[in-house]
Amino acid sequence: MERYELKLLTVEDEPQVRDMICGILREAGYQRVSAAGSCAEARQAFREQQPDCVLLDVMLPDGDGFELMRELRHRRDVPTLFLSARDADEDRLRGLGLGADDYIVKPFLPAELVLRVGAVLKRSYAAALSEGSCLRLGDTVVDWDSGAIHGPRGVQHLTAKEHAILRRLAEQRGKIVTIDALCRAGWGEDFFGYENTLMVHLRRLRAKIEDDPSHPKWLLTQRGLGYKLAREDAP
Amino acid sequence: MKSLGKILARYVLSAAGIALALIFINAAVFFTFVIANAYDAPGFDRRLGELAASVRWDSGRWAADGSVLEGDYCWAMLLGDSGDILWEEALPAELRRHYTVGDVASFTRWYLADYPVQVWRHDAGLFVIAQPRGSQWKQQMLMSSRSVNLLLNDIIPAFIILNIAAALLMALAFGLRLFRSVKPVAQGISDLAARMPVELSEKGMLGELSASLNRASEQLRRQELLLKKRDRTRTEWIAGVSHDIRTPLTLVLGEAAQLEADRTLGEAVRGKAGTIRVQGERIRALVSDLNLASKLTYELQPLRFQPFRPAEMLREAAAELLNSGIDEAFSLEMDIPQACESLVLQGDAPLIARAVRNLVGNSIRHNPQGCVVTVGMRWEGSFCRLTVADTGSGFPPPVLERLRRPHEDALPSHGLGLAIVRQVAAAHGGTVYFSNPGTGALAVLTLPVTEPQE
Repeated sequence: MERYELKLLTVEDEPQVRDMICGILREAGYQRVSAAGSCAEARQAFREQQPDCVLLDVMLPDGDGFELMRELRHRRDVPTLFLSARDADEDRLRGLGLGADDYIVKPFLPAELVLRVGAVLKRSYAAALSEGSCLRLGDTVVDWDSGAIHGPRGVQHLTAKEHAILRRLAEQRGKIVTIDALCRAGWGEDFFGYENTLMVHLRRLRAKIEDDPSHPKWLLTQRGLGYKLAREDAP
Repeated sequence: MKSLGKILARYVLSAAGIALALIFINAAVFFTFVIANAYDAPGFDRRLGELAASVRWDSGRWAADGSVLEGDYCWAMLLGDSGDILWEEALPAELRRHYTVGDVASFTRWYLADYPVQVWRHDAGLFVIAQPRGSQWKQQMLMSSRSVNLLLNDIIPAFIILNIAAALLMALAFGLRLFRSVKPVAQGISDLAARMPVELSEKGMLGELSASLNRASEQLRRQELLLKKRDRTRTEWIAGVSHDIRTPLTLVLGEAAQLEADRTLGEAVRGKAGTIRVQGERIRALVSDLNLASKLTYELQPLRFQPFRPAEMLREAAAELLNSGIDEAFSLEMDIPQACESLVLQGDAPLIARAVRNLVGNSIRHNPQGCVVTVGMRWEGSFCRLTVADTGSGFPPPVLERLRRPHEDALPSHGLGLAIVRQVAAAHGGTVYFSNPGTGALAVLTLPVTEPQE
């Protein structure tokens, strides 16, 4: 299944903002976007459309988004993102504490919204989505399930640590992931002191995925900070 | 409570001093009175000799020059050596006319038929003069020399020393009692100064005082609540306004960004849309800064203190900045020595990260021509310094002067981002220092190291 075939429901009382959000999502490629302006409309749309993901405003004319999420989740467990004009930490924590998948503070940039919705969908529907099962690096393809690397030099395999580290980089492809975050991905919360080991693993990873490991094209170093997995379109 | 101890000591000493002074004053008054009155007493009347001498042998009989009964004397007589009366004046009829040696010895010491009498040696015998019955009190004192010596050398000094000791002890006892009842009141006063609620028992020696203290505390608490409420209202007002700004700003930012990305539009139009988007993002940052600054100013931002590694936090903040996409004219360098990696601080890491991002953002905003920003840290014993340095044009002198002015309580008219840095530092018991060290600007955020380090 394609990510863009998933059904999205936007619940927002401000018509212009609602239209804009739907527009941004459609622009980004999502074809099945519906909208609701109140809790009542949201309940009806939820029943009729069976959305795969809900974007909820916290303050609605006939109720509060937190309550609505609890109610909808009770019927069917769907990934939910909050869109709120309130940036108080308590609200954010309350939303995430209730099990929301993300909490986006208004105003946001369209690209930001698309990225975060995409990330939530990828996380929630990883198994169902075809795109989530492999990583493309030019001629090289990494199959996450088997941990196999199919490249010009034949098939190689990722070790468990390499898998975890590469997976973490791929989650935020095109963004810098700090050394600390990579260590955490590899060794859990007690990751402190593994920087040197991390470097060893990254060197081996480069040997497996790069054409020329001394001049990496995909796995880029950000000195003193971390690493970045380059995007395919802009290596 | 140190001052209370001093007060007690001074109280005891002054009480003893007062007791001592009283003893001396009493002794002085007593002796003055006795001496003054003893000379007044008829028994010591210097006139007695003259009165006696006035009874003379004249023309074959004893006679006085006039009446000897001056003052309150009521009768007088002259006894011859044989015990007979040689001369008398106003001698009451009921009295005997003859006295034996025994009688004389008795009335000299005590009374003659209840008359207090006094005697004076006369050439012819004994001159006796009386005062009305019941008018005088006669007391003789007889003491051994040993007793007198004992009294003067031992008993009186011992008496004085015992008195002082008793005075000291009593003063100490009363003082301790006072101390005990004053102690909670003193505690209450220092609590009041520390803005802690005071609730003292209103019984006992200082009950009234305690009651007033309780009232004062109540009053202060009410006032503080009122102030808090006002601060809260102000902060909520700012939060409300920023909330209201956010919805239209969502539209401005969203539509502008979409126009900017619309490839069917001309380059110039998309550039203008880009400008709207960039300025919209600045308003967004300002609104959020304003909100946070007002919360920090009125201490309404709940701080979540947790142990965190500043090295990790700095990398996180830098990565976030780079990931949000900064202009290519800028480059971000990290300067974290290996020794700092293990350092753990107590604090609200997201807030400190925000302060660091504000500093970097400030460097970027004020150097449109581009520069190198270096985020670093140093660990010096009980302090940790987080530094943000750039190779740009540095702080303009007036801005630098304003930034260095301590205790800028009010929200500043500009530089909200840097005001937040200062507030975040203060909330963590730290400081921030801005300077222009040669090239570019330097901000040093100093935080205390409280966690015991391994």
